[in-house]
This record gives sequence, C-alpha cells and structure tokens, in this order.
Amino acid sequence: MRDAASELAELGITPIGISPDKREKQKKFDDKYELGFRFLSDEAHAVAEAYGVWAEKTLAGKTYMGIVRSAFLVNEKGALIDVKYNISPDQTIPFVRKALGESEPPAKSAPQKVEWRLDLKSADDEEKASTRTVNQATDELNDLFKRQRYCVLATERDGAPYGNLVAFASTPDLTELMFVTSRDTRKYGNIQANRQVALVIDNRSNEASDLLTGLAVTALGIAEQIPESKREHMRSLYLAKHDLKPFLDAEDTVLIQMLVQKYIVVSGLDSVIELTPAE
Amino acid sequence: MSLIPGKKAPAFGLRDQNGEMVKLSMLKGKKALLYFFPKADTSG
Repeated sequence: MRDAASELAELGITPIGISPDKREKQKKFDDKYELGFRFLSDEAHAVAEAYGVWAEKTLAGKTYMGIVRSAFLVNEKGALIDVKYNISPDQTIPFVRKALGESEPPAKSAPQKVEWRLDLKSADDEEKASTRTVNQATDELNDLFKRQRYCVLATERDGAPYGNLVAFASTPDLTELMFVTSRDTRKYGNIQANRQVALVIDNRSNEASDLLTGLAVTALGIAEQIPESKREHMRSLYLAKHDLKPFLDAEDTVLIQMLVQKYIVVSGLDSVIELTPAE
Repeated sequence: MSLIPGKKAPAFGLRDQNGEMVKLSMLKGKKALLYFFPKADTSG
C-alpha cells in the first residue's frame, strides 16, 4: 500500500482507506507505516454496508461478519468509474489503471537473454576449469535454485551483520532472486537501512562429504521492492515454487527482489568461480 | 447488494485518523479511490 499512495498521486487520485477500526488504531497504523493515506473509521460499518462490502466471512470453520476487501474508483462528480469486490492488495493499482484506460507501463526487464561473464578464481585444477563454461555454470545454478527452497539472507545495519533463513525463488535468467518478508521484521528494517545484501544458497546434506562435493553459492546484490509493472510476473514465479499465497497476499508482506551483481560459486574444497552480468 | 459502475457512489461522512470529518461531497473535483479493508494490521 505504501507504493500505491505515490502511484495513485501520480494518477491524480485521492486514496481513502476505510476500515472498521477505531480512529486511534488507524492513527497508530498510519504513524507506523507512513502510508500517506487518509483513513476513515467506519466503526458502525454503516458505510461498508452501503457499499455492499459488509458480508459473512468464514475463517477456520467459523462464520462472522466482516469487510470484503474492495475498491471503488469515484470520478470528479461522485459517480463510480469502476468497482472491484474481493480485491487483493496488489491488484489495486492494476485495477485503477485498467479503470482509467491506462496501460501498464512496459516491464523494465522483458525476458531477454542475459549474458554472464565467468571468472576462474582457482586455476589449480586446470583440466576441470577449462571445461567449465558459462552455460554449465548457469545450468548448475538454476538446478541448485530449483532444488533448494531456503537460503540464508545476510543484511546489515549500523555495522551489525544479521543473518536469517528465507524462502527464495529466482528468475530463469538468474538476474534476480526474490524472497518475502513482513515489514515488522529485523531483516526488512535492515534492508531499509542498507540495500546491499547477500544470499547464501547451498546443497549441504550435513554429511562429511559436503566438504568435498558440496556446492555453495553466494549472491551479492541490491534488495528492493519490486516495481508494480513487474510484480505480477515475479509473484507468479515465486508462487510456482512456494505455496505461500496467503502470506504473500497479507497486508504487511512485501515481495523483495535482489538484483544480482555477482555470484560466487564454491564447489568442493577449493573450486571458486565468479559470475557477473556481462556489460 | 453490490454497486455497479456508472451509479452514484453512496454518500458518507466519517472521521479520519486525525479526527477530521470527511464527506464524499468534499472529494468532488478530483478522482478518489475508496478502499475498504478489514481491520488494520491483520492479514485478512
């Protein structure tokens, strides 16, 4: 919703959020997230009823009355341009654009072939090194990224490093890695403070042989929120790997992408290569 | 009962997070997005 506020402003639209929360609760919510939204407290849910968004809902087998998340685009004269009941948070901007007849801005990275440059860091095993091509390396990475569900995310704030596990996914051209986080986490706070992050993806099996046959990839790059134009595409890639739709759809959850600047690939004891996007 | 495009948006007057009264009629002259959501800070 935070990004939505500025996008809506660009489209000349006043965003108004309406919920049955008390005013004090909305104030806290607003202060916490600095959304720049105007929140209206509809405690008696009378307005919700007038708009047809007060309905019976079911959670864990129990039914109760609640708000169906919905969006109403109103024109300058107070008439409804378009209406969408049961909207998910990230459908909001596409809904508005469509209603206004605006097309989506073109995706910044249309699926194009990305070249990777390979640097050998250990030439002691020359025979092996000479047969190792960029394609083999990228295939190896893709294979590893498909098999592994979790990896370690390293972030930093005020000189203090921090590490934690995240469920990650990758784009087929390996240019981006992504993971989801809630906004109220240490990692999210750290990323806000310093966008330079690292991910460690490995295939360890916790056996002694890992030392000889293991593969560990360190990805260095910049973490950022995914631009609206790419979000659907990245979401579907992510959901194809992880069955986390409810978490991803949650109000407070953000899908973060990491633009990879370098992969450092360590296989076995001492074979190290680096992959960087070729200019 | 669902609303449909083309109809007038139902009038309302509610207070915002700072206690200011906001009426639909005050929003005229500019497009507005009315976004109804379940309780703040929940995933619902």
